[in-house]
Amino acid sequence: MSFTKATAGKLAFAAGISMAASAAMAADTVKIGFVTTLTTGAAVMGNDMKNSVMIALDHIGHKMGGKKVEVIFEDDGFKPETGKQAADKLIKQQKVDFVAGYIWSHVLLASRKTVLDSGKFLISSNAGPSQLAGRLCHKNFFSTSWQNDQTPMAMGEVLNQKGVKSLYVMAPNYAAGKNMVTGVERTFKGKVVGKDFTKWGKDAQLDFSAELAKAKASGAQAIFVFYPGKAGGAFIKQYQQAGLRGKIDLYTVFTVDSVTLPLLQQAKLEGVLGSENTMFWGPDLDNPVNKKFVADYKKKFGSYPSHYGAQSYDSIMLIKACRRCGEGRYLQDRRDARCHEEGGLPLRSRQVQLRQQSYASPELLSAQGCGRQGRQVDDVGYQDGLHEPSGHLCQSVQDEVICTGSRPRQRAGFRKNLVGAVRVVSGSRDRQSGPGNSAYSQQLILPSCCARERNCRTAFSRPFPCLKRNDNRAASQTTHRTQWTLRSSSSRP
Amino acid sequence: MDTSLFIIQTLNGLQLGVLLFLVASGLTLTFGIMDLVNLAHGSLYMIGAFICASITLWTGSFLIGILLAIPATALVGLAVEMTVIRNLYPRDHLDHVLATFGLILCFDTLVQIIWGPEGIAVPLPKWMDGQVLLPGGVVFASYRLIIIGVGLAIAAGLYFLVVHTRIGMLIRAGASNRTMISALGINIKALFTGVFAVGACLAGLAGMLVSPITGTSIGMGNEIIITAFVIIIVGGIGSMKGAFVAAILIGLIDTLGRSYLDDVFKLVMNAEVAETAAPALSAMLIYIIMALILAFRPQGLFPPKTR
Repeated sequence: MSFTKATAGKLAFAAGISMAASAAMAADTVKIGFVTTLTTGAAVMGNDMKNSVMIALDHIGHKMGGKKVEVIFEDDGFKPETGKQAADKLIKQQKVDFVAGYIWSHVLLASRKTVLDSGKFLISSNAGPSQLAGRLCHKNFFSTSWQNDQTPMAMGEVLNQKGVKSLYVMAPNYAAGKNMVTGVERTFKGKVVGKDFTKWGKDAQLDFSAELAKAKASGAQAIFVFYPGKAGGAFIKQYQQAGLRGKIDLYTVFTVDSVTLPLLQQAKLEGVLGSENTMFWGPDLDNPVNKKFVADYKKKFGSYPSHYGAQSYDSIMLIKACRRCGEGRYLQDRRDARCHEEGGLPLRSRQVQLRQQSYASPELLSAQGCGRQGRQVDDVGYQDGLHEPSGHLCQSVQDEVICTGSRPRQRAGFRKNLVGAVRVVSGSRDRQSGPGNSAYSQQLILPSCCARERNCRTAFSRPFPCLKRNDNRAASQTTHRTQWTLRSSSSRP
Repeated sequence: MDTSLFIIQTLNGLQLGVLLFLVASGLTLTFGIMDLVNLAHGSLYMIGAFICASITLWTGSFLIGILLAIPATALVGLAVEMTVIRNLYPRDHLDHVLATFGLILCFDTLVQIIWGPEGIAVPLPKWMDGQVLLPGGVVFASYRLIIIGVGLAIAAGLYFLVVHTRIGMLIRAGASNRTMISALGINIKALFTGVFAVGACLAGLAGMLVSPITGTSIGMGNEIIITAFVIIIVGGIGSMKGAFVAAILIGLIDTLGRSYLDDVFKLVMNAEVAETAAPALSAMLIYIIMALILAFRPQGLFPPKTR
């Protein structure tokens, strides 16, 4: 804790100095605004993100494209209005080049207009509301996480494979909660026997007695929940106390993670053990970049990072890749943005934006001329009206595949993956909230996996072998079975 | 309708009700007797929960945690009363709101500094952690039953204290006419301090009881304090009986609303609309009740006899 504070102090100090000199230094500094939750109980996630940004900055030597990087952290207080104010402040007063961060979908939705209208880049490090992958898609919006529907869609398939016929669904009553439920309902083939949306926000409902009693009475075989942060811990305690363990199997998304597990372990709540969740990332993910990230995080902060942290780390790497490829020019003359518009990427079909974000952010293509590569992307099948959940841009994809147009072999690999991606989503007609055809769901997660499997840390955690194109192997292999071992060596107090 | 589910939901409502009563009783004491709008009452709830959680993790026993945390919370309450609250009595309500809101921010930050933002999950002893089979084949979490028992016992104790003891007489007198009891030579300062500490204990105890269910978290008190204010308004400010009846009523309405409202809505509208409307309305339900009470019986259900 003390380290974080010291760092934050230094950072604030640095921010102060540079603010004074910002006019003169603007061209020499990359300014990144990072909005996350640093107060309320959700600060545990926000701190994780902040810490991971610190690690990322350490790894890149606080430099991007030869320029100094300055990250300004802002607190959203878990409230949309505060998040929007923070974005306003970053854009108008601090004059940042990028706004990144955002845990909460409703906060991101409230802030998006402020950032995008100003022509700056908005990078979500966690929140993935379906609207931003559809109706509200924007060329300057990028994500290092997912679209909300994606993870629960994989879970729907897991439930099918487990032979679950009846399901009870619970989620908080806000943008992401609704997306998560939509996602699982889209792929789950059994019957949803009951559904509860509970109050969310700063004064979220944490006592689920009524809902759990209903779930129990409904006779469902399994219960699916999405309760990020402290609500997850509370839910699992009550799930156990209500005697549901062993009666109704627990399946979760974004509920059991490095944030909640140590607390549950501390309280010896074994109700969580054996429950399953789908997640694209895990701290044990076996690749060099991830190993370095997790090891350095543990060394510096004494605990494991969560996916919030991993995605934040990626956000910084994404921005860095952008700087490197564009050699920082776009910040001065916005050349890349123009390049993007004039180049081959089909800007007019707004729905493909998030796919570009997954594989070929137009800004990233700029150094070698986005038009050429953009057309290749176009050739393999971007179609108007398609929609795909956002994917992941990971460090090595950026550094080796996308950024270096001069490496044909890797580009070919990238292109192959993209074909997979296009195939996968070509059944989609649902512009608002994700592909409408459940047959594709298993593969949805596939392209981002394949693109990353070999050399990128944000691939699916083992034991999830990378699926090949059109391979229908079980999505359940993404499933993580909850065990204490994940955090047992944590030095948390 | 499934009767055993209805019984379970009623018990759940009762459990929520007694918890709310513990918070509201302290609030109604301070508001009714001292004429103090104490928004920071919820912070004492939080402090109680965190102290209890720490002691529980230390000693490994939840009971020891509660037994030690109650006096500790009382001490915190005393300290707050003597340093901040005491200076507020002569001032008007707006100043109370400002100062106690400031206290909330201080307490929230203090908790974040001491315990970190992640909160604590409190383990229960094995014998509390299971379920019990009630008559009629109803299976219910034993800990929630314990909460109901403890809450009702405390309600009975408070009733005895307020109605049958000298201190209770002073408290009732204070709620009716403060000027008069100070004119009668009662040490109003000591009475206020005592009442504040008792209120702190009650709020702290509620926090301690709820922490094995929801875990402790920063700002947990701010979530319940609004409901507690609704309760004392519905019940009548300063009335212990009103607080009890209103707390149980609100607890039941909230729980049963969450349980059955969507089914009711599905009778008159399509399922999708009902799923969206029901949680929104069940979150509003207690405020609708308060609005109705304010419109038709602004003094509350059981107002203390004044003057």
